[in-house]
Amino acid sequence: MRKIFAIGEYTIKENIRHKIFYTILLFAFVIIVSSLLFSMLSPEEETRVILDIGLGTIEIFAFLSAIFAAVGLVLGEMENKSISLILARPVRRFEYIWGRYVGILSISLFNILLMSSALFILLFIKGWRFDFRFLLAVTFIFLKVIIISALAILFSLISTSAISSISATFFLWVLGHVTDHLKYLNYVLLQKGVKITIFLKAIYYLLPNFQYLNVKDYIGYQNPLGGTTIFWQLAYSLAYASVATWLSVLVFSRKEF
Amino acid sequence: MPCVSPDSSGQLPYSMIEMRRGIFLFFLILPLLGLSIFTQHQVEKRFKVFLPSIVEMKPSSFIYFWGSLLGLRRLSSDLAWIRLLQYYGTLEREEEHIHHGEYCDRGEYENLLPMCQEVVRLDPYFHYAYLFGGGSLAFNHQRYDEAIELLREGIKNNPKFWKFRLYIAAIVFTRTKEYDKVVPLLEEAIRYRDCPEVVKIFLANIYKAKGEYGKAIVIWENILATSRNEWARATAQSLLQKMEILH
Repeated sequence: MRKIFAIGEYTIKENIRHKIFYTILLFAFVIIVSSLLFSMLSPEEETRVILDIGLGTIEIFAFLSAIFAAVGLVLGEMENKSISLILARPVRRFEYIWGRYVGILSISLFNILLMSSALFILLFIKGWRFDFRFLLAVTFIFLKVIIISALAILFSLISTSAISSISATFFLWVLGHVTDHLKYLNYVLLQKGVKITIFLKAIYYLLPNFQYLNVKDYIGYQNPLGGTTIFWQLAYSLAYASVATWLSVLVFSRKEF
Repeated sequence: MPCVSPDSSGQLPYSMIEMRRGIFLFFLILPLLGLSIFTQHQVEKRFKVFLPSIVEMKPSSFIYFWGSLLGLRRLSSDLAWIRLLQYYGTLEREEEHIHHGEYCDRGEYENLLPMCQEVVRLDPYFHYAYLFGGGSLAFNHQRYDEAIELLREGIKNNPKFWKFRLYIAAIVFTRTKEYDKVVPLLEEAIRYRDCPEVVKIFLANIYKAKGEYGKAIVIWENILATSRNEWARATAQSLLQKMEILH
Protein backbone atom coordinates (compact mmCIF):
# COMPACT_ATOMS: atom_id res chain seq x y z
CA MET A 1 0.00 0.00 0.00
CA ARG A 2 2.86 2.39 0.89
CA LYS A 3 4.37 1.98 -2.56
CA ILE A 4 1.01 2.63 -4.22
CA PHE A 5 0.61 5.87 -2.30
CA ALA A 6 4.22 6.86 -3.04
CA ILE A 7 3.59 6.47 -6.79
CA GLY A 8 0.28 8.30 -6.35
CA GLU A 9 2.08 11.20 -4.69
CA TYR A 10 4.67 11.23 -7.46
CA THR A 11 1.83 11.31 -10.05
CA ILE A 12 0.24 14.30 -8.32
CA LYS A 13 3.55 16.19 -8.26
CA GLU A 14 4.19 15.36 -11.91
CA ASN A 15 0.71 16.50 -12.88
CA ILE A 16 1.04 19.79 -11.03
CA ARG A 17 4.25 20.52 -12.94
CA HIS A 18 2.40 20.18 -16.28
CA LYS A 19 1.24 23.42 -17.89
CA ILE A 20 -1.86 21.68 -19.25
CA PHE A 21 -3.13 21.21 -15.68
CA TYR A 22 -3.25 24.98 -15.13
CA THR A 23 -4.60 25.64 -18.62
CA ILE A 24 -7.52 23.27 -18.02
CA LEU A 25 -8.27 24.85 -14.63
CA LEU A 26 -8.06 28.37 -16.04
CA PHE A 27 -10.42 27.54 -18.93
CA ALA A 28 -12.86 25.92 -16.52
CA PHE A 29 -12.93 29.02 -14.30
CA VAL A 30 -13.40 31.31 -17.31
CA ILE A 31 -16.37 29.24 -18.52
CA ILE A 32 -17.94 29.03 -15.05
CA VAL A 33 -17.72 32.81 -14.65
CA SER A 34 -18.94 33.39 -18.22
CA SER A 35 -22.10 31.46 -17.31
CA LEU A 36 -23.17 34.79 -15.78
CA LEU A 37 -23.46 36.19 -19.30
CA PHE A 38 -25.67 33.32 -20.44
CA SER A 39 -27.81 33.60 -17.34
CA MET A 40 -28.55 37.25 -18.23
CA LEU A 41 -30.28 36.00 -21.37
CA SER A 42 -32.71 34.03 -19.24
CA PRO A 43 -33.45 36.23 -16.19
CA GLU A 44 -36.26 34.01 -14.85
CA GLU A 45 -34.06 30.93 -14.76
CA GLU A 46 -30.78 32.63 -13.92
CA THR A 47 -29.50 30.23 -11.25
CA ARG A 48 -30.57 27.21 -13.27
CA VAL A 49 -28.45 28.33 -16.24
CA ILE A 50 -25.43 29.08 -14.03
CA LEU A 51 -25.81 25.70 -12.29
CA ASP A 52 -26.08 23.75 -15.55
CA ILE A 53 -23.20 25.49 -17.29
CA GLY A 54 -21.12 25.14 -14.12
CA LEU A 55 -21.81 21.42 -13.62
CA GLY A 56 -21.29 20.73 -17.34
CA THR A 57 -17.95 22.57 -17.24
CA ILE A 58 -16.83 20.71 -14.12
CA GLU A 59 -17.60 17.38 -15.75
CA ILE A 60 -15.98 18.13 -19.12
CA PHE A 61 -12.81 19.55 -17.57
CA ALA A 62 -12.54 16.80 -14.97
CA PHE A 63 -12.85 14.30 -17.84
CA LEU A 64 -10.20 16.13 -19.89
CA SER A 65 -7.75 16.44 -17.01
CA ALA A 66 -8.21 12.74 -16.17
CA ILE A 67 -7.59 11.50 -19.72
CA PHE A 68 -4.67 13.85 -20.31
CA ALA A 69 -3.10 12.72 -17.04
CA ALA A 70 -3.70 9.03 -17.78
CA VAL A 71 -2.51 9.14 -21.36
CA GLY A 72 0.22 11.76 -20.92
CA LEU A 73 1.84 10.22 -17.87
CA VAL A 74 1.54 6.47 -18.46
CA LEU A 75 1.99 6.42 -22.24
CA GLY A 76 4.58 9.22 -22.11
CA GLU A 77 6.64 7.33 -19.57
CA MET A 78 6.56 4.19 -21.71
CA GLU A 79 7.53 6.11 -24.84
CA ASN A 80 10.53 7.85 -23.31
CA LYS A 81 11.51 4.66 -21.45
CA SER A 82 11.67 6.44 -18.09
CA ILE A 83 9.33 3.73 -16.82
CA SER A 84 12.36 1.39 -16.63
CA LEU A 85 13.80 3.61 -13.90
CA ILE A 86 10.73 3.03 -11.76
CA LEU A 87 10.39 -0.67 -12.50
CA ALA A 88 14.08 -1.20 -11.75
CA ARG A 89 13.22 -0.38 -8.13
CA PRO A 90 11.37 -2.84 -5.92
CA VAL A 91 7.99 -1.78 -7.30
CA ARG A 92 5.64 -4.44 -8.57
CA ARG A 93 3.73 -3.76 -11.76
CA PHE A 94 0.30 -3.77 -10.14
CA GLU A 95 1.60 -1.26 -7.59
CA TYR A 96 2.72 1.01 -10.40
CA ILE A 97 -0.70 0.91 -12.18
CA TRP A 98 -2.73 1.32 -8.98
CA GLY A 99 -0.39 4.07 -7.81
CA ARG A 100 -0.85 5.96 -11.06
CA TYR A 101 -4.60 5.47 -10.84
CA VAL A 102 -4.80 6.71 -7.24
CA GLY A 103 -2.71 9.75 -8.20
CA ILE A 104 -4.92 10.60 -11.18
CA LEU A 105 -8.06 10.23 -9.05
CA SER A 106 -6.61 12.46 -6.33
CA ILE A 107 -5.79 15.21 -8.80
CA SER A 108 -9.23 14.87 -10.42
CA LEU A 109 -10.92 15.08 -7.03
CA PHE A 110 -8.91 18.20 -6.22
CA ASN A 111 -9.94 19.76 -9.58
CA ILE A 112 -13.60 18.89 -9.03
CA LEU A 113 -13.62 20.31 -5.50
CA LEU A 114 -11.91 23.51 -6.63
CA MET A 115 -14.30 24.07 -9.55
CA SER A 116 -17.36 23.15 -7.45
CA SER A 117 -16.33 25.66 -4.78
CA ALA A 118 -16.06 28.39 -7.44
CA LEU A 119 -19.49 27.44 -8.79
CA PHE A 120 -20.98 27.31 -5.30
CA ILE A 121 -19.68 30.81 -4.49
CA LEU A 122 -21.07 32.14 -7.78
CA LEU A 123 -24.48 30.59 -7.10
CA PHE A 124 -24.45 31.86 -3.54
CA ILE A 125 -23.76 35.42 -4.75
CA LYS A 126 -26.71 35.06 -7.13
CA GLY A 127 -29.04 34.17 -4.26
CA TRP A 128 -29.32 30.45 -4.95
CA ARG A 129 -30.87 28.39 -2.17
CA PHE A 130 -28.70 25.41 -1.27
CA ASP A 131 -29.98 22.12 -2.59
CA PHE A 132 -28.61 18.71 -1.55
CA ARG A 133 -28.89 17.58 -5.17
CA PHE A 134 -25.92 19.85 -6.01
CA LEU A 135 -23.66 17.71 -3.82
CA LEU A 136 -25.14 14.57 -5.34
CA ALA A 137 -24.42 15.83 -8.87
CA VAL A 138 -20.81 16.69 -8.00
CA THR A 139 -20.30 13.29 -6.30
CA PHE A 140 -21.61 11.49 -9.36
CA ILE A 141 -19.35 13.50 -11.67
CA PHE A 142 -16.48 12.08 -9.63
CA LEU A 143 -17.90 8.56 -9.98
CA LYS A 144 -17.89 8.99 -13.77
CA VAL A 145 -14.28 10.19 -13.57
CA ILE A 146 -13.38 7.09 -11.50
CA ILE A 147 -14.56 4.88 -14.37
CA ILE A 148 -13.19 6.91 -17.27
CA SER A 149 -9.74 7.31 -15.67
CA ALA A 150 -9.45 3.52 -15.31
CA LEU A 151 -10.46 3.11 -18.97
CA ALA A 152 -8.05 5.85 -20.07
CA ILE A 153 -5.14 4.02 -18.38
CA LEU A 154 -6.21 0.77 -20.03
CA PHE A 155 -6.33 2.38 -23.49
CA SER A 156 -2.99 4.11 -22.96
CA LEU A 157 -1.49 0.65 -22.37
CA ILE A 158 -3.21 -1.01 -25.33
CA SER A 159 -2.74 1.69 -27.95
CA THR A 160 0.52 2.88 -29.39
CA SER A 161 -0.18 6.59 -29.74
CA ALA A 162 -1.68 9.27 -27.50
CA ILE A 163 -4.23 10.29 -30.15
CA SER A 164 -5.65 6.79 -30.60
CA SER A 165 -5.80 6.34 -26.85
CA ILE A 166 -7.61 9.67 -26.28
CA SER A 167 -9.98 8.95 -29.20
CA ALA A 168 -10.86 5.51 -27.85
CA THR A 169 -11.54 6.95 -24.37
CA PHE A 170 -13.66 9.75 -25.82
CA PHE A 171 -15.57 7.22 -27.93
CA LEU A 172 -16.36 5.17 -24.82
CA TRP A 173 -17.43 8.33 -22.98
CA VAL A 174 -19.98 9.04 -25.71
CA LEU A 175 -21.13 5.42 -25.95
CA GLY A 176 -21.51 5.28 -22.18
CA HIS A 177 -24.13 8.03 -22.37
CA VAL A 178 -26.26 6.29 -24.99
CA THR A 179 -26.12 2.64 -23.91
CA ASP A 180 -29.90 2.74 -23.43
CA HIS A 181 -30.24 3.07 -27.19
CA LEU A 182 -28.98 -0.48 -27.54
CA LYS A 183 -32.36 -1.59 -26.18
CA TYR A 184 -34.08 0.44 -28.89
CA LEU A 185 -31.73 -1.00 -31.51
CA ASN A 186 -32.55 -4.49 -30.28
CA TYR A 187 -36.28 -3.72 -30.57
CA VAL A 188 -35.88 -2.42 -34.15
CA LEU A 189 -33.75 -5.41 -35.17
CA LEU A 190 -36.21 -7.88 -33.61
CA GLN A 191 -39.01 -6.34 -35.67
CA LYS A 192 -36.91 -6.93 -38.77
CA GLY A 193 -36.32 -10.55 -37.71
CA VAL A 194 -32.67 -10.08 -36.71
CA LYS A 195 -32.03 -11.84 -33.39
CA ILE A 196 -28.83 -10.59 -31.79
CA THR A 197 -30.28 -9.84 -28.36
CA ILE A 198 -27.57 -11.74 -26.46
CA PHE A 199 -24.80 -9.97 -28.36
CA LEU A 200 -26.36 -6.55 -27.72
CA LYS A 201 -26.94 -7.39 -24.07
CA ALA A 202 -23.28 -8.36 -23.71
CA ILE A 203 -22.22 -5.03 -25.22
CA TYR A 204 -24.71 -3.24 -22.98
CA TYR A 205 -23.19 -4.73 -19.83
CA LEU A 206 -19.59 -4.42 -21.00
CA LEU A 207 -19.83 -0.73 -21.87
CA PRO A 208 -19.74 1.73 -18.99
CA ASN A 209 -23.23 3.02 -18.30
CA PHE A 210 -22.78 6.72 -17.63
CA GLN A 211 -26.45 7.53 -18.11
CA TYR A 212 -27.28 6.12 -14.68
CA LEU A 213 -24.54 8.21 -13.11
CA ASN A 214 -25.51 11.40 -14.93
CA VAL A 215 -27.36 12.95 -11.98
CA LYS A 216 -26.75 16.49 -13.23
CA ASP A 217 -29.09 15.75 -16.16
CA TYR A 218 -32.05 14.78 -13.99
CA ILE A 219 -31.36 17.08 -11.09
CA GLY A 220 -34.76 18.72 -11.77
CA TYR A 221 -36.54 15.47 -10.92
CA GLN A 222 -37.82 15.88 -7.40
CA ASN A 223 -36.31 12.78 -5.80
CA PRO A 224 -33.82 11.60 -8.38
CA LEU A 225 -32.38 8.71 -6.38
CA GLY A 226 -33.18 6.67 -3.31
CA GLY A 227 -30.58 5.56 -0.76
CA THR A 228 -30.30 2.01 -2.11
CA THR A 229 -29.98 3.22 -5.70
CA ILE A 230 -27.08 5.47 -4.66
CA PHE A 231 -25.46 2.49 -2.92
CA TRP A 232 -25.74 0.31 -6.05
CA GLN A 233 -24.49 3.11 -8.28
CA LEU A 234 -21.47 3.55 -6.05
CA ALA A 235 -20.88 -0.22 -6.01
CA TYR A 236 -21.22 -0.33 -9.81
CA SER A 237 -18.69 2.46 -10.35
CA LEU A 238 -16.15 0.85 -8.04
CA ALA A 239 -16.65 -2.65 -9.50
CA TYR A 240 -16.40 -1.42 -13.11
CA ALA A 241 -13.32 0.71 -12.37
CA SER A 242 -11.68 -2.26 -10.58
CA VAL A 243 -12.26 -4.49 -13.62
CA ALA A 244 -10.68 -1.89 -15.92
CA THR A 245 -7.73 -1.30 -13.60
CA TRP A 246 -6.98 -5.00 -13.08
CA LEU A 247 -7.21 -5.45 -16.85
CA SER A 248 -4.60 -2.68 -17.13
CA VAL A 249 -2.44 -4.61 -14.66
CA LEU A 250 -2.86 -7.74 -16.81
CA VAL A 251 -1.86 -5.89 -19.99
CA PHE A 252 1.00 -4.09 -18.24
CA SER A 253 2.37 -7.30 -16.71
CA ARG A 254 2.79 -8.73 -20.22
CA LYS A 255 4.67 -5.71 -21.55
CA GLU A 256 8.41 -5.82 -21.98
CA PHE A 257 10.59 -2.75 -21.57
CA MET B 1 4.53 -32.11 -23.92
CA PRO B 2 7.49 -31.26 -21.71
CA CYS B 3 6.68 -31.04 -18.06
CA VAL B 4 7.65 -27.70 -16.45
CA SER B 5 9.26 -28.32 -13.13
CA PRO B 6 11.34 -26.26 -10.70
CA ASP B 7 15.03 -25.99 -11.59
CA SER B 8 17.85 -27.17 -9.38
CA SER B 9 17.55 -24.07 -7.17
CA GLY B 10 13.88 -24.87 -6.58
CA GLN B 11 12.61 -21.82 -8.53
CA LEU B 12 9.99 -21.95 -11.32
CA PRO B 13 10.99 -20.68 -14.78
CA TYR B 14 10.02 -17.03 -15.51
CA SER B 15 7.49 -18.00 -18.22
CA MET B 16 5.73 -20.23 -15.70
CA ILE B 17 5.56 -17.43 -13.13
CA GLU B 18 4.16 -15.12 -15.83
CA MET B 19 1.50 -17.65 -16.77
CA ARG B 20 0.48 -18.19 -13.16
CA ARG B 21 0.24 -14.43 -12.66
CA GLY B 22 -1.93 -14.16 -15.78
CA ILE B 23 -4.25 -16.92 -14.56
CA PHE B 24 -4.45 -15.32 -11.11
CA LEU B 25 -5.40 -11.93 -12.62
CA PHE B 26 -7.93 -13.58 -14.94
CA PHE B 27 -9.67 -15.26 -12.00
CA LEU B 28 -9.59 -11.97 -10.08
CA ILE B 29 -11.14 -10.00 -12.96
CA LEU B 30 -13.89 -12.52 -13.72
CA PRO B 31 -15.81 -12.21 -10.41
CA LEU B 32 -15.31 -8.45 -10.46
CA LEU B 33 -16.88 -8.36 -13.92
CA GLY B 34 -19.76 -10.45 -12.57
CA LEU B 35 -20.13 -8.00 -9.70
CA SER B 36 -20.13 -5.08 -12.12
CA ILE B 37 -22.92 -6.68 -14.21
CA PHE B 38 -24.90 -7.54 -11.08
CA THR B 39 -24.65 -4.02 -9.65
CA GLN B 40 -25.60 -2.49 -13.01
CA HIS B 41 -28.64 -4.73 -13.08
CA GLN B 42 -29.57 -3.59 -9.56
CA VAL B 43 -29.28 0.07 -10.57
CA GLU B 44 -31.36 -0.59 -13.69
CA LYS B 45 -34.15 -2.14 -11.57
CA ARG B 46 -34.32 0.85 -9.23
CA PHE B 47 -33.78 3.64 -11.71
CA LYS B 48 -37.07 5.49 -12.16
CA VAL B 49 -36.01 8.65 -13.99
CA PHE B 50 -37.32 8.98 -17.52
CA LEU B 51 -35.42 10.79 -20.28
CA PRO B 52 -36.66 10.62 -23.90
CA SER B 53 -34.10 9.00 -26.20
CA ILE B 54 -32.35 10.96 -28.95
CA VAL B 55 -34.43 9.03 -31.49
CA GLU B 56 -37.69 10.25 -29.91
CA MET B 57 -36.29 13.73 -29.39
CA LYS B 58 -35.13 14.37 -32.97
CA PRO B 59 -32.87 17.30 -32.01
CA SER B 60 -33.07 20.21 -34.45
CA SER B 61 -29.51 21.30 -33.92
CA PHE B 62 -26.12 19.68 -34.02
CA ILE B 63 -25.38 21.29 -30.62
CA TYR B 64 -28.31 19.59 -28.87
CA PHE B 65 -27.43 16.29 -30.51
CA TRP B 66 -23.85 16.40 -29.25
CA GLY B 67 -25.00 17.77 -25.91
CA SER B 68 -27.13 14.65 -25.46
CA LEU B 69 -24.32 12.36 -26.54
CA LEU B 70 -21.94 13.92 -24.05
CA GLY B 71 -24.39 13.69 -21.16
CA LEU B 72 -25.17 17.42 -21.16
CA ARG B 73 -28.90 17.32 -21.83
CA ARG B 74 -29.91 19.89 -19.22
CA LEU B 75 -27.30 22.29 -20.52
CA SER B 76 -28.56 21.68 -24.08
CA SER B 77 -32.08 22.32 -22.81
CA ASP B 78 -30.92 25.68 -21.40
CA LEU B 79 -29.39 26.63 -24.73
CA ALA B 80 -32.62 25.65 -26.51
CA TRP B 81 -34.52 27.69 -23.90
CA ILE B 82 -32.37 30.80 -24.51
CA ARG B 83 -32.92 30.36 -28.26
CA LEU B 84 -36.67 30.12 -27.62
CA LEU B 85 -36.62 33.32 -25.54
CA GLN B 86 -34.72 35.11 -28.27
CA TYR B 87 -37.17 33.87 -30.89
CA TYR B 88 -40.16 34.93 -28.80
CA GLY B 89 -38.57 38.23 -27.90
CA THR B 90 -37.95 39.23 -31.53
CA LEU B 91 -40.70 41.04 -33.42
CA GLU B 92 -42.10 39.21 -36.42
CA ARG B 93 -42.66 42.37 -38.49
CA GLU B 94 -42.86 40.73 -41.91
CA GLU B 95 -45.35 38.13 -40.72
CA GLU B 96 -47.44 40.84 -39.10
CA HIS B 97 -47.44 42.80 -42.28
CA ILE B 98 -48.81 39.83 -44.19
CA HIS B 99 -51.41 38.89 -41.60
CA HIS B 100 -52.72 42.20 -40.45
CA GLY B 101 -51.51 44.74 -42.97
CA GLU B 102 -50.11 46.97 -40.25
CA TYR B 103 -47.37 46.97 -37.67
CA CYS B 104 -48.17 45.21 -34.46
CA ASP B 105 -45.68 43.94 -31.86
CA ARG B 106 -47.30 40.53 -31.41
CA GLY B 107 -46.38 38.03 -34.13
CA GLU B 108 -47.75 34.58 -34.79
CA TYR B 109 -44.67 32.69 -33.62
CA GLU B 110 -45.59 29.50 -35.45
CA ASN B 111 -42.54 27.69 -34.05
CA LEU B 112 -43.35 28.42 -30.43
CA LEU B 113 -44.79 24.97 -29.69
CA PRO B 114 -42.08 22.91 -31.46
CA MET B 115 -39.38 24.99 -29.79
CA CYS B 116 -40.99 24.51 -26.37
CA GLN B 117 -41.28 20.79 -27.06
CA GLU B 118 -37.62 20.58 -27.92
CA VAL B 119 -36.69 22.29 -24.63
CA VAL B 120 -38.82 19.94 -22.54
CA ARG B 121 -37.76 16.82 -24.43
CA LEU B 122 -34.15 17.63 -23.69
CA ASP B 123 -35.09 18.16 -20.04
CA PRO B 124 -38.55 16.76 -19.19
CA TYR B 125 -38.30 18.25 -15.67
CA PHE B 126 -37.98 21.87 -16.80
CA HIS B 127 -41.26 23.01 -15.16
CA TYR B 128 -40.94 26.69 -15.99
CA ALA B 129 -40.64 25.96 -19.72
CA TYR B 130 -44.02 24.14 -19.69
CA LEU B 131 -45.67 26.96 -17.74
CA PHE B 132 -44.17 29.68 -19.89
CA GLY B 133 -44.95 27.88 -23.18
CA GLY B 134 -48.46 26.88 -22.12
CA GLY B 135 -49.24 30.35 -20.76
CA SER B 136 -47.89 32.16 -23.81
CA LEU B 137 -49.65 29.91 -26.32
CA ALA B 138 -52.99 30.14 -24.55
CA PHE B 139 -53.13 33.66 -23.17
CA ASN B 140 -51.08 35.55 -25.79
CA HIS B 141 -52.00 33.67 -28.96
CA GLN B 142 -55.26 31.89 -28.14
CA ARG B 143 -53.72 28.61 -29.36
CA TYR B 144 -55.45 26.62 -26.64
CA ASP B 145 -54.98 23.16 -28.16
CA GLU B 146 -51.25 23.65 -28.52
CA ALA B 147 -51.00 24.96 -24.95
CA ILE B 148 -52.92 21.96 -23.60
CA GLU B 149 -50.78 19.58 -25.67
CA LEU B 150 -47.62 20.99 -24.09
CA LEU B 151 -49.05 20.95 -20.57
CA ARG B 152 -50.29 17.38 -21.02
CA GLU B 153 -46.73 16.36 -21.89
CA GLY B 154 -45.71 18.10 -18.67
CA ILE B 155 -48.25 16.08 -16.66
CA LYS B 156 -47.05 12.85 -18.30
CA ASN B 157 -43.44 13.55 -17.33
CA ASN B 158 -44.19 15.18 -13.95
CA PRO B 159 -47.39 13.62 -12.63
CA LYS B 160 -46.89 15.13 -9.16
CA PHE B 161 -46.45 18.71 -10.38
CA TRP B 162 -50.04 19.89 -9.86
CA LYS B 163 -49.62 23.40 -11.32
CA PHE B 164 -49.91 22.02 -14.85
CA ARG B 165 -53.46 20.86 -14.04
CA LEU B 166 -54.26 24.28 -12.65
CA TYR B 167 -53.08 25.91 -15.89
CA ILE B 168 -55.08 23.48 -18.03
CA ALA B 169 -58.23 24.28 -16.05
CA ALA B 170 -57.61 28.02 -16.49
CA ILE B 171 -57.03 27.56 -20.23
CA VAL B 172 -60.22 25.52 -20.66
CA PHE B 173 -62.32 28.16 -18.86
CA THR B 174 -60.63 30.93 -20.86
CA ARG B 175 -61.54 29.14 -24.06
CA THR B 176 -65.19 28.89 -23.03
CA LYS B 177 -64.99 32.51 -21.78
CA GLU B 178 -66.01 31.48 -18.26
CA TYR B 179 -63.88 34.21 -16.71
CA ASP B 180 -65.51 33.90 -13.30
CA LYS B 181 -64.06 30.38 -13.08
CA VAL B 182 -60.68 31.43 -14.52
CA VAL B 183 -60.02 34.20 -11.99
CA PRO B 184 -59.73 32.05 -8.82
CA LEU B 185 -57.45 29.58 -10.64
CA LEU B 186 -55.15 32.31 -11.88
CA GLU B 187 -55.23 34.06 -8.51
CA GLU B 188 -53.83 30.85 -7.06
CA ALA B 189 -51.25 30.51 -9.85
CA ILE B 190 -49.79 33.99 -9.41
CA ARG B 191 -49.12 33.35 -5.73
CA TYR B 192 -46.16 31.13 -6.70
CA ARG B 193 -42.68 32.40 -7.42
CA ASP B 194 -42.38 30.44 -10.68
CA CYS B 195 -45.53 31.93 -12.22
CA PRO B 196 -44.67 33.33 -15.65
CA GLU B 197 -45.44 37.01 -16.26
CA VAL B 198 -47.78 36.17 -19.11
CA VAL B 199 -50.21 34.68 -16.59
CA LYS B 200 -50.03 37.72 -14.31
CA ILE B 201 -50.60 40.04 -17.28
CA PHE B 202 -53.57 37.97 -18.43
CA LEU B 203 -55.19 38.14 -14.98
CA ALA B 204 -54.52 41.87 -14.76
CA ASN B 205 -56.25 42.32 -18.13
CA ILE B 206 -59.28 40.32 -16.93
CA TYR B 207 -59.53 42.58 -13.86
CA LYS B 208 -59.22 45.62 -16.07
CA ALA B 209 -61.96 44.36 -18.42
CA LYS B 210 -64.20 43.70 -15.39
CA GLY B 211 -63.50 47.20 -14.10
CA GLU B 212 -61.65 45.95 -11.02
CA TYR B 213 -58.81 48.45 -11.45
CA GLY B 214 -57.56 48.15 -7.85
CA LYS B 215 -56.76 44.46 -8.25
CA ALA B 216 -55.17 45.06 -11.68
CA ILE B 217 -52.97 47.80 -10.21
CA VAL B 218 -51.73 45.43 -7.46
CA ILE B 219 -50.62 42.91 -10.12
CA TRP B 220 -48.91 45.52 -12.31
CA GLU B 221 -47.15 46.92 -9.26
CA ASN B 222 -45.95 43.42 -8.44
CA ILE B 223 -44.62 43.02 -12.01
CA LEU B 224 -42.89 46.40 -11.76
CA ALA B 225 -41.26 45.45 -8.46
CA THR B 226 -40.24 41.85 -9.21
CA SER B 227 -39.80 41.46 -12.96
CA ARG B 228 -36.37 41.14 -14.48
CA ASN B 229 -37.82 41.69 -17.92
CA GLU B 230 -37.32 45.28 -19.07
CA TRP B 231 -40.22 45.17 -21.51
CA ALA B 232 -42.60 43.93 -18.79
CA ARG B 233 -41.45 46.64 -16.40
CA ALA B 234 -41.86 49.39 -19.00
CA THR B 235 -45.35 48.11 -19.91
CA ALA B 236 -46.27 47.90 -16.22
CA GLN B 237 -45.13 51.48 -15.66
CA SER B 238 -47.09 52.94 -18.58
CA LEU B 239 -50.22 50.89 -17.72
CA LEU B 240 -50.03 51.90 -14.07
CA GLN B 241 -49.98 55.55 -15.04
CA LYS B 242 -53.05 55.05 -17.23
CA MET B 243 -54.94 52.95 -14.68
CA GLU B 244 -54.28 55.21 -11.74
CA ILE B 245 -56.11 57.89 -13.67
CA LEU B 246 -59.04 55.47 -14.28
CA HIS B 247 -59.08 54.18 -10.69
